[in-house]
Amino acid sequence: MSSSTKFLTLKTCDDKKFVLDEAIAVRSQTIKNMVEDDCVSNVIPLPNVDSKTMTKVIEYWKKHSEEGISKDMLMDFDKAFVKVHHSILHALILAANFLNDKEMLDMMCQEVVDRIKGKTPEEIRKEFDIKNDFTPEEEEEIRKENAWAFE
Amino acid sequence: MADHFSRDLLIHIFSRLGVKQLCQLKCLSKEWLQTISSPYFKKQHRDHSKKRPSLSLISSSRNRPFRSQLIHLSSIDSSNNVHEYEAIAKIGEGNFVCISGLDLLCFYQTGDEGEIWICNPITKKTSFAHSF
Repeated sequence: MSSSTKFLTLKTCDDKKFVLDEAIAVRSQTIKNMVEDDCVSNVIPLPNVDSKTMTKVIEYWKKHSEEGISKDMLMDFDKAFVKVHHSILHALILAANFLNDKEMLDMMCQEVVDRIKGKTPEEIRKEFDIKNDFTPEEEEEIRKENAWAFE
Repeated sequence: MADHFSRDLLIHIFSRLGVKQLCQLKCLSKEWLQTISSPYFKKQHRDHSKKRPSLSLISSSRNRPFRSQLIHLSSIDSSNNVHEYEAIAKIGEGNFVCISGLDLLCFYQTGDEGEIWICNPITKKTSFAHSF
């Protein structure tokens, strides 16, 4: 541990400021690179992340930086953390991608995979609000070409 | 939602899915079809699958009326789905265990009537490739 705690100020796209221990903020490779390259002045702007999403991200970072937390406790936390509406899951994935936190990104993407697995195309469209932009004929053609997968 | 993801993120997600489900997902939207069909994605998916090889158990028994072997194939793919099927193929009798990151299984029977059979455990198709 460093002798003195340094704090960083992060500013989200909706102009909210978050003051965070640098040791925690550098879970983001994007922020870490900025700190290492010494291009951090007073405030780090996060133009792709809103405050609602950043609050969730910081909650995750803090929990995963807690000293002495057991693996089981983290697993329970992660399990509950990903159980959110797909719009929030989507925002968190975009944020984790922008902040370049591979661990978090992998966990969120795995949740999307788990929500897709074993579902029919119709169920997946409904789950994720995906618009079917095929004509019925086009869709039928693709289903025919991949008939074995629908058996 | 997922149709607002960048191509890179879709690839990140799709790489973890099995081939069968991916073929179903092709009919979801044009973006998903293009992503899944792209050569770049196929390479990513193959690389990802190699990290989690599939396991196959093949048992073969003589199937007299056809003078060939009936094979029973069970395989677990990288997404932990179990595929089982039976097919006729002229391969040696016995049990085989095969651990592979590849998509196809190839059997080669030595001897006078050596033949090569190819099995695809995902599409459940077996085909005769070559005889000597």
